[in-house]
Amino acid sequence: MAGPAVFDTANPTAGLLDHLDERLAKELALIAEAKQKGQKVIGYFCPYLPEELILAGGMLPVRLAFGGELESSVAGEEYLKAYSCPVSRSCVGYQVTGTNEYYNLVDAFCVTQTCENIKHVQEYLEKRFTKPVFRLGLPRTCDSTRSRPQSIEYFKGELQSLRAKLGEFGGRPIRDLDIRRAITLCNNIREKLRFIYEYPDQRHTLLDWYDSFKITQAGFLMNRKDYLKELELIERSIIGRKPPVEADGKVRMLLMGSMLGIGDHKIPDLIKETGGKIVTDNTCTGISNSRKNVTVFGIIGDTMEALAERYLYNVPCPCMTDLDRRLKRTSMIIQDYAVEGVIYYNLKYCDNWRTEYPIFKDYLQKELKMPILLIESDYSPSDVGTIRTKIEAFIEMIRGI
Amino acid sequence: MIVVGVDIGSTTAKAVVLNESATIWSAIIPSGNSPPSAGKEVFALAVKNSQHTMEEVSYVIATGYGRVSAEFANKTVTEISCHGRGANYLNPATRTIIDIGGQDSKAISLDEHGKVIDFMINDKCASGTGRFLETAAELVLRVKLQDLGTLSAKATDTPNISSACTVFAQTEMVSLLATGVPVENLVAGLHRAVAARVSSMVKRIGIKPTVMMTGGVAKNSGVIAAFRKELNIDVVVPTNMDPQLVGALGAALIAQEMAKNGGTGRV
Ligand SMILES: Nc1ncnc2c1ncn2[C@@H]1O[C@H](COP(=O)(O)OP(=O)(O)O)[C@@H](O)[C@H]1O
Repeated sequence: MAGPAVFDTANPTAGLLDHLDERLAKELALIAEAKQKGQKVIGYFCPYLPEELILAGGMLPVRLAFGGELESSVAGEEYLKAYSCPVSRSCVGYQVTGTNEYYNLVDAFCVTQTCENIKHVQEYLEKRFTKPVFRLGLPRTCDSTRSRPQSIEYFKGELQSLRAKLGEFGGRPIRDLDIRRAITLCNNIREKLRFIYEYPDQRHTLLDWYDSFKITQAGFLMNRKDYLKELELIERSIIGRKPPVEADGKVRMLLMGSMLGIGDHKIPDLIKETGGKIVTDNTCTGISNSRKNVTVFGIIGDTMEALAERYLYNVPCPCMTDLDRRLKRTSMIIQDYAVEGVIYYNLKYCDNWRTEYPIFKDYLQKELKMPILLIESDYSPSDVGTIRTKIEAFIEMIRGI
Repeated sequence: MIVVGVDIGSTTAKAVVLNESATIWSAIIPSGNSPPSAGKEVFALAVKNSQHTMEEVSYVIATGYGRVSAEFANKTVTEISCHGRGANYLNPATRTIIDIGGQDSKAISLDEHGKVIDFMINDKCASGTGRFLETAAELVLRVKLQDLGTLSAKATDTPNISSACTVFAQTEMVSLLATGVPVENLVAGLHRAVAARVSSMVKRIGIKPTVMMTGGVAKNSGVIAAFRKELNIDVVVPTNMDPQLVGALGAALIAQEMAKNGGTGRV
């Protein structure tokens, strides 16, 4: 990549993700190879889990945030109730169908105790499919100054026992030095992601959200060191490129709500097709996970405390009692990205998000004068027509006809 | 020059023709098993009714669930915007619209300029739709759809039909009939069940007067009466217009505006 590159100004991101795509296509084979050499693969679900601990133990973390597949979500009904959320049904469903190659490579699962649904997933993985499962307890109250020290203390304890279990599983105790190295690697990844995601600024990003999201999610699967290299490559090649002039007249939307897994395109695609444009998201699978670094204070700083501090406070999940924080965060995102409309994605039976919707709606409509649209859906294609009408009507409402 | 609004619904296809002096002609036909051809057909029929020719049509807007397949339209607009526009035209005081069609129900909130400010669509549950009324009338109660309104006005009591599921609601009605409950009372119960179901949705977007009901089910005076009771507020229907045509009228009004602005849409 020498000299000032000439870019196709009409399509400034052409070819940008090719290398990443190619690399990602090889991932399964590479993981299998690493397994052959004795490396363990640890699958986990929620971003409350510090993957630094897995990396420090010399193992491969894979975040199993898959979605959008009807077959596995139906297969999961054999064990979970039909009115469990499709994410949880798929987590179990992939064990039934055996169709997800990443799941098939997992040696052990780490499961954070977030919501009711995931609690049941964890039980079935262990009892029914006899997989090793390491649990990570999660405090619910982390918002008030009163509960904060207690919550951190508890979470730190949980992280310590996870560290011990992972060490045992990986065949060597996890050293502080290794955790520090892993933290540096993950912080570097976060910084690159923020740079790429928000280049050159939050309102006129070079990459559209769909590409940014793809880049973010590649990092759930890919060997993290290689992933960092891929990010560096992308970073280097976007510098100097200019985003397309914003005259597309599309409604700028924030997509927030339930987990938007790898493969769950239905809503993003419909937004695109109907003339909307997602400018950013506030879900547990997006950029929110990379907003903050883990900060260890100097040589004597407590790594476990640093991890507890960072991981307890950085996920937009309604299983927590920090509703006020999440409302404020949403309002900041709306300002930063000049959002014109909010799509609130609720996976059916994701009760926490659904129950909070009226509160979000009230807050957005009354305090921020921001239009908000609730979309309740699952992985079946049957509701595409109505959702299209809803989003189209929402766009007409914001733009006028 | 004339403009046309075509509303291709799940149950019926409707078309409204407007000329420059806002004279209205219309047509309604069943959607049958082919919404695309029903749309084309009702479009031609309404133009014929207007005594104009197809060549005089300057702009067409299609709406309704079959709008995507309307190749003759210059542009498509959602039912939400069309019902909003139509209701605002017929009664500018309208702030809340309840639209019940064959397979879904909608609640729309308008501001003082007639602009849509919020809406909800329910298509997940059949118990708040015209189809539910149709099957209950025809298959269970053995009465004509058109007679539901007059029948329920004669009711001496309104039995509770508690099942939220239409299939079970029908079973419930069958057993009520068996215990000797008169048909007109059951019809009243049926109307209350529909109104209750849809009301919970309307309440979520907030009820502001004037409340207007549109869509085919608004032709059923028994449902209107049930809504008045359920929401404890007056519910009006358009006076000079078939409520089933409000969506198509809105589409025609938007078409008129687009034609004036020289709007170039999807042809
Ligand atoms: N004359 C009538 N009396 C009572 N109900 C009627 C009458 N005509 C139509 N309906 C009701 O209207 C429904 C169709 O409404 P419509 O608005 O045309 O639906 P869509 O737009 O979904 O096709 C029917 O299911 C029926 O319940």
